Amino acid sequence: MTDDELTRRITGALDEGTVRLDGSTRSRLAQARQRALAAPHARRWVLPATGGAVLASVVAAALWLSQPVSTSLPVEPQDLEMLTAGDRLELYQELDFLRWLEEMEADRVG
Amino acid sequence: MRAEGNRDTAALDSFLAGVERRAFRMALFAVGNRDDALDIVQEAMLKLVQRYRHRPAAEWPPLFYRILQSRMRDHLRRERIRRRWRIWFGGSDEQAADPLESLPAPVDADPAIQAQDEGILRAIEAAVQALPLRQQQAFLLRAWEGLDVADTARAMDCSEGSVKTHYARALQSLRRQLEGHHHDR
Repeated sequence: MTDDELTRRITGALDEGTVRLDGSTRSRLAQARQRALAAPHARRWVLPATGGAVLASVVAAALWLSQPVSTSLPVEPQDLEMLTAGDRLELYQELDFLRWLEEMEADRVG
Repeated sequence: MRAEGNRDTAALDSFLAGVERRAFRMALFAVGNRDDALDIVQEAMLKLVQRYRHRPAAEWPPLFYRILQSRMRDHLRRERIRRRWRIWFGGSDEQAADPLESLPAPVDADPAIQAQDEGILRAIEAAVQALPLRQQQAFLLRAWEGLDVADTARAMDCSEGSVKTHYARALQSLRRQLEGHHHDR
C-alpha cells in the first residue's frame, strides 16, 4: 500500500466516524458555535480609539516638554536698585562687610 | 457597518459549521474525554470570533486550528499538573481519575450502523489516538484537514521542517500499527 493509499484509507475512516457522531454531540457543537457567534467581540473601532488616545497623550507630552524654559533667576525688589546701579558689585560686598564689623563692635562695647 | 457585521457572522457561521465536527474529533483524539473536547472546541470558536472575525476568511483555518492546538496543549499540561498533585497528596492516579472519563466517545453509538469493516475503522481510530500529540496534530491537519505545510506549521506553532518530520513519523507509525492489525485478523 502506498503512502497516498494509506492516507486515503485513514482519512476515509475518520470522515466516517465524523458522520456518525451522535446527535447529542452534534447539538452541543451547534450550540457552542451559536454562543461563540453571539458573544460580544472586540470591535474594530476600539483600535483606532485606543490609538487616538495614545496619540493625544504623546502630543500633550510633546507640547508640555517643548514649552520655553525661563533661565532667568527671580529678582527680589530690594536687589533691583543694586543691580541697576552703575556701581561695582565689590563695593556692595565691602559695604556688607563694614556693616558686619560695625555690628560686632557695637556688641563688644554694649 | 451592520451589513458588514452580518456578512462576517454568516461567513463565520458557515466556516465553523464546516470544521466543528472534525475539530471535535481532533480534540477528542488528543484529550480522550468528550466533555473536555467540547469545551476546547467552544473556547477555540469563541476566541476566533472575538479576535479574528474581521480577518480575511482564508486566514481562519490556520488561525482556528492554531487556537485549537494551543487549547489542547494547555489542557494536557493542566491535566499533567493535576495528576502530579493527586499523586503527591495521597491518592494514586488510578483512584483519582475516573477511567471511564478517558475513554473516547462511543463512535458506534448507533447500533443500526454496522459496517463490514468496523474492525478496521476502530483500529484506525485507535492508531491515530495512540500517536504522540505532535505527530497526531501534523497528520490530522495535513492529511485530514488538508492544510498545506506552511499553514500546518502556523497552526502547530513550529517550523515547516518539524511538520514534515512529525508527519512522516506519524505515517510510519500508522502503517506499522495498521499492518500489524491486518496481520492479526
